[in-house]
Amino acid sequence: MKGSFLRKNGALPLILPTLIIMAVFTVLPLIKGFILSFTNANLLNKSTAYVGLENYKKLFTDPIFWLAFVHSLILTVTAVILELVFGIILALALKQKVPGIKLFRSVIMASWVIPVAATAVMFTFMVEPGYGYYNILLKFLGVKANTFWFGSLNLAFPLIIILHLWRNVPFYGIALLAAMQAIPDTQYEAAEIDGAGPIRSFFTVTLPSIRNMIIVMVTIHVLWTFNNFDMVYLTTGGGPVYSTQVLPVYVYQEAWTNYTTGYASSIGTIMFVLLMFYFIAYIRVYQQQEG
Amino acid sequence: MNKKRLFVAVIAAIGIMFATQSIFAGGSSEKSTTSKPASSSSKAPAGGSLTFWNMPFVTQEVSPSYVKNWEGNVKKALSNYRVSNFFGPGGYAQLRQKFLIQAQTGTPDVIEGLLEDVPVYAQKGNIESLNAYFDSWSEKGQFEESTLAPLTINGKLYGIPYNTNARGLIYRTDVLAKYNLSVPKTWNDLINVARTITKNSKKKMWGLFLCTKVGDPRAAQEFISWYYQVSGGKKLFTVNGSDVTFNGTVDQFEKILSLYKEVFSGSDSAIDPAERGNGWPSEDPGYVSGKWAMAPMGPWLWGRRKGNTAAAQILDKSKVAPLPMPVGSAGHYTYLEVKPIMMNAHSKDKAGAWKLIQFITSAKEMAGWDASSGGIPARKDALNSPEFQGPLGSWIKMFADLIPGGIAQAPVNWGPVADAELRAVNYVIYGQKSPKDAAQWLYDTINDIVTSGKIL
Amino acid sequence: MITKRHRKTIRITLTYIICVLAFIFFIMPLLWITYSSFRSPSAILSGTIISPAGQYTLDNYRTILSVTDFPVYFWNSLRIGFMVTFAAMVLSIIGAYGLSRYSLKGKNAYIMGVFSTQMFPIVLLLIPIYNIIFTMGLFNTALGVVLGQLMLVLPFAVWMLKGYFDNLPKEIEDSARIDGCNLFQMLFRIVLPISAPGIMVAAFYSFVVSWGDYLVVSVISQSQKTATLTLALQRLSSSLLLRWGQVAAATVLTIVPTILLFSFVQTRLVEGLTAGSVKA
Repeated sequence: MKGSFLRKNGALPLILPTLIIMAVFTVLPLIKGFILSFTNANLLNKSTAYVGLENYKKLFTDPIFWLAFVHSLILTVTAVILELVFGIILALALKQKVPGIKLFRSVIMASWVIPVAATAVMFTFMVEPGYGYYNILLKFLGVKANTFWFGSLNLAFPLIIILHLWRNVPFYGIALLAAMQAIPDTQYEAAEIDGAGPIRSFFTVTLPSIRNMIIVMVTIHVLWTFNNFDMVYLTTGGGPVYSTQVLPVYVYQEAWTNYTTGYASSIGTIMFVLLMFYFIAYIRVYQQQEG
Repeated sequence: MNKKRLFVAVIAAIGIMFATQSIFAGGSSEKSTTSKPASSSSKAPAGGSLTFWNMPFVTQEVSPSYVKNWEGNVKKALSNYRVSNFFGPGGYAQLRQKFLIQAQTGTPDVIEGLLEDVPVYAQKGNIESLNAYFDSWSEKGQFEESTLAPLTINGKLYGIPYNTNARGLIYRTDVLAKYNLSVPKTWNDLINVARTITKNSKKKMWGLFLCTKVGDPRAAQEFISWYYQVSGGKKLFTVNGSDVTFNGTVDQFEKILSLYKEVFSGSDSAIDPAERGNGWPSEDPGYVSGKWAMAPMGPWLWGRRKGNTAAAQILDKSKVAPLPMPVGSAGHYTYLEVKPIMMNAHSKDKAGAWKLIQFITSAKEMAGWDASSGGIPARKDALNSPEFQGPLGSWIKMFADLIPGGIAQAPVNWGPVADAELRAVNYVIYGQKSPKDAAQWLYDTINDIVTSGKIL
Repeated sequence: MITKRHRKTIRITLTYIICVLAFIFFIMPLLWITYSSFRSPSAILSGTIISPAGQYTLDNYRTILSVTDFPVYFWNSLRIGFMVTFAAMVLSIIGAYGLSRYSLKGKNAYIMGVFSTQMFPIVLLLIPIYNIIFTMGLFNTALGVVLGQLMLVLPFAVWMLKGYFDNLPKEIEDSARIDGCNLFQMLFRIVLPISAPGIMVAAFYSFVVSWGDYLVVSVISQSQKTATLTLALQRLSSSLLLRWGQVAAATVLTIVPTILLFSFVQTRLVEGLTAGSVKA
């Protein structure tokens, strides 16, 4: 009996400590969040009433919700794809054994280790008209574009994407490099003997070997980008007008500016459901390919 | 092989560190959760310990040397107590969030905040009504009535003011003289004077600056100042018990939004179009580095003199006038800021907390604090103290003269309203909506906020 | 016909081009920040690149280091960061190894359970997190902060290491098992050395998340005992008298130790261990 249980659930004792921590900090708060989304909870009011699907009905007719939803999708998809492409290119460069590369590997991480709050303040400083780094740089290059970039209707959203790239690409680079370093040289040698050039051996040797790491990085960054609120909140506050309004910022404003916890929870629940669908689909694909 | 050993050694070192830390942390957690009032702890002085969360002390709005000084003074004045020198998280949004989450732990005992925080905390039941304490305080007569009224909701006084300010239009006397201009009195004057400066300086200097970033507190305060000019000093909301009446009209909003549209339009616009969507982090440094000639301002700008001779020279050539008003309006009005010191309703030692509040708002401490950070003391005797003679005194006086026209915000949750106002401003300055349409949108949105109960 | 030598030249040239571009995009802004941290306020606002010699100053650093309890916060960040990293590595290595090598009924449900915090807006979890930590009696303790941050770190660390372990050849382990190694001997002698690069990335990730975390610390910490550097940075950047020079100096002081740490990890451990294991 015991033997068969362990054979079927051999991983359980090993993963149990992690599960306990996550359960304490996750399951209870999440259940509470779901319940709140069916109420008119307000942080400042003591009485809370059950309102059924009222919040969700309101949600589907709320134009700001849909706008934020679309922005969130565009931001996540664009940022993650670009991060992956540039991350692979960076990892390939970092892998080369050329003089000075070790030093470069150490400094390239710098943008990723800065707390997001500091990144936001730094970039606000650097896009200031007149004395900001980017405007000085453009003036130096002879481009006349002196403007507060976060205040530009056309530039604010791309700039938010650039901010994500600036912060995350180095991490992709280092993580994918780690995966590439685990590929034995013999595999490349074998490919070369088969007559494969560098491009073909990238597709036949490198890419399949770092596939797992790519999946891991993409999964986590989809969740992270879709859920990230401080990068937008601290730089544009969702403006100008609504041009950078995204779901997590909307949740924050509902929860901590309007104090309408119930409504905020319903947005949070929708986000949860969306990400859950994405995650399930991803795991399916991953395991099918594996099996 | 050697490197493997290094790896193991590093892991082991971190492990040992972790183990010692968790033992240490476990021990101190016990201390902090059981350290209820004074008597239970043998180490603490007879009166126990007190915590004061105060944003200006951690963000260096008050000079660090003054804070050191304050810490020394409080030790002497409240010798029975140990007052923590951890003054809470920085930033009012962070302060508010943390206080709403954990006020019931009894920490902090005393909290500083914005006028806009008072109704929120009061609604949540997190702050103590101070009437009984204040009424029996012999020094209560020193406080200006105009600074107490805004902190009183339904007859209950929820905070003791330590600082107040009114907003005026700061301008460069040298620039106006150079182009032979006079100080703007109306909105039309303001636009014309600013455009002339922009034009004559060949855009080396812009006439004006206004904050327009969504979520920027200063931008919301500027908007409401313009509102008071249009409404003739009438508040945007009237609060009666739990009823909130919205007094704004589409017409009023259209006037204000037209002003915002005008200052950004024209080939020599009053404000640099590149500064659209920018906020307070740009307004003050820009003025003291000569990027613009005028801006709505409060007395804090004085703090920029320190360690910056160029800024000091520009401030020496600056004066403050009442904010311009629309044609046909009578009387100058401005946003009135009052900063309260509040008591946590869950404090474990309210008598001690009150003693701390009395110390913070004593004439001497208030004068020192406001002199260091550039605010107008809420007490008469503090305003008459030696700190406020000389150059600082004349600077402060320019703003103190504007206080009679100051209107304090109604006690509601301003967050969603401020957000809507600035979205409307954005619609207009980015040419997405006409002032008329944006005004209608703003009116509908605020109505919606009021009826849906987001306003309290 | 491209010869092998040509190919090498192209490879090196391309590498340097990418590195230069990456340097301009990722590092130049930081150099500008570093440069700004040595300038006086009027020099920063002048809009010029070079300013007169008298306008360079160490005042920004002097202020930060003398008045903001910076050393205290620095030490807190460091020890909390190490504790989180250590705990996260222990938990995630065994957890991920289990998920990778052993069967588990409803494995996907467990993985999703581990990930579910990352799918819900964290700002809505602040109050529950506070309640839990407070009930556990860990409010305002380093252990409380560590537990809170583990929640942020663990999903990714487990997921990443599982992916890494999935890729490793199982043959060596099988032969080790036949040789009579138990689970922990196998982990320490075989799995850890081979997967060092992956573990290092996961460890570094844990450290950086802890180092940069503001939300959890802001909820759980309320004294110098547990407040970290991000809190200090937050304070400086929300001041009404925002001084760019001081913010820049504080940012530099936050970055430098992590870069030093990473370069140590990178050169000493990752390369050494990989080289050793691949040859073996």
